[in-house]
Amino acid sequence: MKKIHLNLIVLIMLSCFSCNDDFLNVSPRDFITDEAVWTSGTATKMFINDIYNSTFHVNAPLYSFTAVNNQQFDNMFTDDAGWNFKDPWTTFNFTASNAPFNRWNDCYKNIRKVNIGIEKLSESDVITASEKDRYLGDLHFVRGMIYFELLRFYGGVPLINKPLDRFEDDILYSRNTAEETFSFVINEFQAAADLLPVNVDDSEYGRATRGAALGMLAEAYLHCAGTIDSKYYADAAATANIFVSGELQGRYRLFGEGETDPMKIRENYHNLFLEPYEGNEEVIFDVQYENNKLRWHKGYQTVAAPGVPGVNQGYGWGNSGPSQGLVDEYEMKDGSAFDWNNPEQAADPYANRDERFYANILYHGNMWKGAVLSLSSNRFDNGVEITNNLPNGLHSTKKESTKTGYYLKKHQWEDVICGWENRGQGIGDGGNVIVLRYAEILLIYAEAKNEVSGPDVSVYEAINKVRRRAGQPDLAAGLSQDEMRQKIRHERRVELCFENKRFFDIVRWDIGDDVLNQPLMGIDAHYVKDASTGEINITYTQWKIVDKVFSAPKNNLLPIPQNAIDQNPKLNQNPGW
Amino acid sequence: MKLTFFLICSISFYASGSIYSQNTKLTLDSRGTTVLELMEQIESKSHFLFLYHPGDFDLNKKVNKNFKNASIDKILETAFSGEQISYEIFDRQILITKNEENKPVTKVGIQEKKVTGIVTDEDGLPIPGVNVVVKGTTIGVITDGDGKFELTVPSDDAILAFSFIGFVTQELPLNGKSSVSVILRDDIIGLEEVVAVGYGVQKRINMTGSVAAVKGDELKTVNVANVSNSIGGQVSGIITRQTSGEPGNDAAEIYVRGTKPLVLVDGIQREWNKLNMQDIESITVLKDATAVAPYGLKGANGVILVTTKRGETGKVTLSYNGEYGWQKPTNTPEFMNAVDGLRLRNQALIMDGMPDAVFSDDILREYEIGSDAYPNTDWIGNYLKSSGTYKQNVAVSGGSETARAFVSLGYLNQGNMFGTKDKYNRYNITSNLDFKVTNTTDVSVDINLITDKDENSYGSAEVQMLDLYRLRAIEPDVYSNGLPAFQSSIGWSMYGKIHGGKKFTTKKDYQNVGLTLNQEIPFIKGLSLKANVNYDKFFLDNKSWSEPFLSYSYNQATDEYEEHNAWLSSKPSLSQNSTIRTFYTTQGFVNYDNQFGKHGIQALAVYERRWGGQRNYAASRTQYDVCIPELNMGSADKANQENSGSSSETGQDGIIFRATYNYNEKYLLEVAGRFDRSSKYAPDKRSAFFPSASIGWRLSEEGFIKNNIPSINNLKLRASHGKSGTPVGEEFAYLSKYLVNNAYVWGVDGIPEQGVYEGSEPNTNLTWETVWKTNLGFDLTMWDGLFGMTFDVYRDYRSDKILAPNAVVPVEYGIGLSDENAGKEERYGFDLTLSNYTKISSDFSVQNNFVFGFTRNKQLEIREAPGTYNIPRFRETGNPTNQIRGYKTAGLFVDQEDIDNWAYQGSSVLPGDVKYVDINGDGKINSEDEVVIGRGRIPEIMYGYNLNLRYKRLDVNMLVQGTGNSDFYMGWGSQNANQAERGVRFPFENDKPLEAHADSWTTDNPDPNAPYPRLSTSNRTQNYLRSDYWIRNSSYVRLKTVEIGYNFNPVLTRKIYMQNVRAYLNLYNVWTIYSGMPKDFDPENKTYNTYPQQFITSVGLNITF
Repeated sequence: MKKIHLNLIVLIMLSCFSCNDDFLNVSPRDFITDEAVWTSGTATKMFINDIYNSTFHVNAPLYSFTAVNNQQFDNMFTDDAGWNFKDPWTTFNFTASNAPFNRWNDCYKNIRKVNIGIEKLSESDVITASEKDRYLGDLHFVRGMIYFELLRFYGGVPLINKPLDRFEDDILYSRNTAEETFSFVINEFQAAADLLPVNVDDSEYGRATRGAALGMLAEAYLHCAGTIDSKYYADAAATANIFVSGELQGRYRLFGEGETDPMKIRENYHNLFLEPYEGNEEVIFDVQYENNKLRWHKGYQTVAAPGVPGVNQGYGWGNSGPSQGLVDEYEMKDGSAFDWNNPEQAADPYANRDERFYANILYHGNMWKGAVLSLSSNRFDNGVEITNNLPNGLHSTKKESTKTGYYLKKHQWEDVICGWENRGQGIGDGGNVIVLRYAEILLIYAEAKNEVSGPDVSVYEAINKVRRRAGQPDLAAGLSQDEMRQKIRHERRVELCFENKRFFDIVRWDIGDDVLNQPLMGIDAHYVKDASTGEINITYTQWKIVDKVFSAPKNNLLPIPQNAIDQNPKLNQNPGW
Repeated sequence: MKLTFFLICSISFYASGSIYSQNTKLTLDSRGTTVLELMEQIESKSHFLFLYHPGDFDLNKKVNKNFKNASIDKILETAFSGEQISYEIFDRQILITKNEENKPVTKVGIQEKKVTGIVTDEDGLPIPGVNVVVKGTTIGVITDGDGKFELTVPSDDAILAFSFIGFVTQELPLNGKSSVSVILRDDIIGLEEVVAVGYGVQKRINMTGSVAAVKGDELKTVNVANVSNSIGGQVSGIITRQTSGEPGNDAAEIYVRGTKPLVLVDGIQREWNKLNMQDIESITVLKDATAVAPYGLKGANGVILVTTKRGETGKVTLSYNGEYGWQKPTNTPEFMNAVDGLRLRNQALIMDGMPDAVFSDDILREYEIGSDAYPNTDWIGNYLKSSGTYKQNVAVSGGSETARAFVSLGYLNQGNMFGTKDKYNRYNITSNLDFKVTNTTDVSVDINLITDKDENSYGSAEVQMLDLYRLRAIEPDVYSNGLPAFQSSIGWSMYGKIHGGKKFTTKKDYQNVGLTLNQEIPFIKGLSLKANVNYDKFFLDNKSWSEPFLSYSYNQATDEYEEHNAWLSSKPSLSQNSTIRTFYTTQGFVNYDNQFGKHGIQALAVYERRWGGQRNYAASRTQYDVCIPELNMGSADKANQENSGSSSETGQDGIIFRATYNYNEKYLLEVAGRFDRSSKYAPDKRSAFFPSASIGWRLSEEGFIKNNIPSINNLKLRASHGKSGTPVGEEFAYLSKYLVNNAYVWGVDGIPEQGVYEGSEPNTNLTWETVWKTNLGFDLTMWDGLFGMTFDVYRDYRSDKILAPNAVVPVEYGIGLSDENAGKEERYGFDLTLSNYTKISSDFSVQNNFVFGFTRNKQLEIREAPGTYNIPRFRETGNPTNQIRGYKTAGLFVDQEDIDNWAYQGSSVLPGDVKYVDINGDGKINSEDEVVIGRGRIPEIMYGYNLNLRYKRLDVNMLVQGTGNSDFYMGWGSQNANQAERGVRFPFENDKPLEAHADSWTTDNPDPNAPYPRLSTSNRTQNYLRSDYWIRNSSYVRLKTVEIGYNFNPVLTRKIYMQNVRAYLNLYNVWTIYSGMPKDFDPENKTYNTYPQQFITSVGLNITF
């Protein structure tokens, strides 16, 4: 026993010294190294997953229901209901330092990811050739989407197409021109279209397809035809035509096409955007959001849903009120324009309108979640006039109440409980957000073709297809090119409202100085008691909510964020900012 | 029994005394046996071993003797009678050699002689446990419980040395005496004091580094649950700030010379705040380069060593300590009651231009009476109540020469001022065992267990306080019919949250087991080896359970109480998380300590390795149908369940060395350092060397002082210089990090899939901060302790501070850059300790201690933006960190004329508004007029005065603590819309004016120096800009603690079998003598809404059996 002590201590000490250094070479537990990513097929796919997620994200204005969507320019009014800011877009009263939707940082973060992906994928030997093509197609599509977003918001931007290494590369890029940026976008979508499949399995639904790439290509051509050079109308028409009568003819169809029952038409058009009908035949590309989760999701289903609609039903933030201008844009059922000067129409403005009006907009007296929406500025109870504390009325003190007299119905699924309990919960889940659908392709075709060669049969056919699905009569024959142009613009506004298209349409048509310099109007639904008969009648009066201020061409683009300019002396600011 | 074996054995056991041979008595029947057989007999019956050279004597000689209880000497003399041999006994080995001189059997070695004695102190009380050693040998004993000893000495002229901690070592030549009586003198000036330093101990007198130490007994009178709160004002160079009084979360922030130190308990980095105060032997603070050098890359910010108690040889004692305390908040905000608040509001409204008072006298009368419709609630009175705290502790200590133990069990209960449902409980178990396995081998087994449980209803005391400070006096608490009221200002019911609904439980378990083996190497004098293995485990279990709780609103119109449960979902929910952390430490020591004449040499080399990691798990479920807070009882729907987890690992190793040399304890030299490696950094950035060197000169040993100024007992000059480090930056920053997240939802069915992404740019250059530390100091003791002084000045030069990258990288680069080691900082200051010990009589002694520390830093390189760098008064480079910048003020505007003649501050300025100074003289007030208006919140100065007075059986301890050079901005947090804090300035922020707001500037009270500007219901932001109007000096002086104790007469207490009984009264946070802060704000509080400090009055009893 006694002999052991010394031996033991020597042993312990030797063991301390003699062990290897393994314990110093500990490996990280909560991340993996880049080498591990690119030598694993699974991780490679996960890298692509993340790029989709970070690009088509709830915080990206073009791919969610928030942001641009809430502001919808002349289509909607949003004040601080539920939000704590006054809509900066109303008067474009911001500077490069506090411009809304500063996506510059996010976009370039994602561009770096795509660039890494493209570089690493080209060298990868852990995936099959078809997988490689597919992933590269995904990446080119995403890079096209990002640069297209940047192009639309900022004009020409620095074009970076490889992962930069600050120790080796010149990392200060100046801005490319809008034309260069545009042709980069075109090339990306074209490359993606060449690599991506026409169809995907149900399990992969949501990934880009050849149709998505070509559809975005058409949209890009159309945008640049308006903002850069009208010669691209021909390319826009030709690309859209691939869907109408070309290679992809029949791949996409209008949802609920051929329906004649007006109530069914209205229902179909409303359902087109709802969760249960996700991935229907009309959708060309949509952003995937998780279903069946509690619905905070910054989507219309909570944010825009009416505040306090009824008893024991969840209610939303009610912060998106469709404008009177948009309401008035909806035609009468017979295809004629709505007219406040027509006493019959002015007395009952919501009768006999385009079915899409009913599908998109909630107005005073609608049923919603089992209760009647009371949006009037007063009401009578047992003959006594009450003006205070109407649950949803114009003079309600509830911040969830509407300011325009309307709530948004499009995108809203009545079954969704979006009440107080769910307000603070979770993140962006819910119904998918449609980025591109076949109806828009038809309208792109009609618009581009009309610009190229006037209102020919194919133009009529394309726009009428959209109108017929909505239950509206065909356009009268013999319209001039300009008359057709106005019809198409009208059709885009009513068909594609609240789908993140309006601002770019205004920019493209260069009509901002006109439509965004008018006051934004709302409706005052007011009950009046006839002094002699005692009868209570409702009257509708337009009222001005706010004056909008817009100045083209400055406001056609956002300012380059100040932080980006500060960090890169080569960046020039957009004119006027 | 070969000679080689003898060699090994004798090496191992050479040092043993003659105790075994003296004590062993043998009974042997050796009739008819040979000498050889006899020796075998002895070996089998005892532990003796014979060593001899065969042929030296006749092995087969018959013995023929019957031994009864005979000593080995007797047996050997008989057995070998007639042989010419000598024998020598080395503990258990008997070496027999041929005796050349034809002498009869001789015992070689020493002439032994028995000596007895008693050791007492100056008061005549016996001292147990004194080490009595025969000088020049290893023969020694320890005095027993009555101070007595008995020892066999080798010769009449032996010299005995008596040593005991706290007493001056004394040497006594025997001169033939066989009975001695020794009086040991108190070591007042600490000449013999041994202080814990990095990886060992050192004699204070030989130390060259800057080290401050305080004994556990001195700390104990600061009556705290948390060790960190005990050292402020007791050690120079330390700054502490107790930022909260919340039970279980009241640890102080500690700064050693301005930076946050590394803390070790018995040499191991582990939990220390929650140690039982009663278990602490001492706390040492290592401050300069030489002292922290053994801690290498973790040492630069100073090191605190906590040493726990160990058993001492002597009588086993059992001691008990019980204590009960009453706690109440020190400073709480004084809010106006409903009536005064509404009156103030009326006044403000009238000043705002309202023609009449809004709240009529009738309504005010209603509030004065108070009812469900017109409540007048005293929220502070209702919720910030006094509470109880109690402690119990039992400790057993003592042992023999071969085994010693210190075992203690402590229990602490701290009540919470919010109510009885909230409480904090802690159990401490310490067991430090030491075994002397052989004369040269020691084994220690240490076990320390801490378990605590914190139960509360809010989860965060700060949120709770914030709520409390937002609740208005005109809101009801509980209605007259007993229903809890809903409070709209906080969105739920305060009563409901505290008394039902939610429950947060946090359990923490700290388990530490250490095994130490120490082996002296006998063949090289002074050399020993030590190995230490330590296992440290921590478990955390957090549970938060919430049940719906109904609260009510009274509707005056209908006279009904309407239900509210808005703040909780309709069904219960549970979330739970746990952390398990395990660390292993192994240390191997080689220690050498020897004296060659006047040359004293100490050398130490240690290899240390520390590795471990942690794991976290979290899970939650919602929608419980049954109210049983276990995870498996919750909703079956997967959507209502969540789980997650994470883990990490880390490792470090180092080779530590220290060598000290002293010549005659006069000239001192020390070099120390560490080769360090850490897994935190890239493989080629992992290792570093941190050396240091220091010198000392004990002037007092020089003749010219010794002979001329005899009053100087000790004067030592010290200087040190060296390098140490601080680990900074993220782990694995050198790797390209790809992180996994829940990514996209694919498919028609919407199945979420995972994604990976590049988390950050790798930084292979990242490494630790380097600090070069320089220290100069001296120690002085005069008049046998009547005056003592220690003074140190220092400068730390810190480089490689982590900073945001210098490279301007465009946003388009697409990824953020990692931080770099690029900053530089300088820190300087001084520490001072003054002490006095006056023994007026044997009944009356006074001890005074004053400590003072000053520290300031200067940022040398912080990559400051040109925007501030180019304007000297904004410049941060060259200035201390955390300065507050804002406007200077010049009182309040008196009238319109005053406003017109002043620089333009805006269009809406009125009399009574704050007047800002136009620094740049351009006639307008804007951000260009900002200057530095205050210092950081962490004080630059901390000092303390400690009085210890003993008169007969009475003792009084007192600690005064103070800080200096720190400022508090009353609007801190307001950027984050921290409404309560903003309420400190603006009376109607939450409609909750403070009493102090009555002194606002009003038309009736147009005082240009009023503490609050123009009274208004609107938040006149121009008055609440960051300015010196809202800066308060957060320095303070406070009587931190007073303890008065009385020792009962032992003659009486022994009759009831108690050796010692002491009763005491202790007051904590007694009196804030001075505070620059508003009187309702504790100067140590971090923010307005932290759980207030507690004033604790306790009574307690110490009993030693």
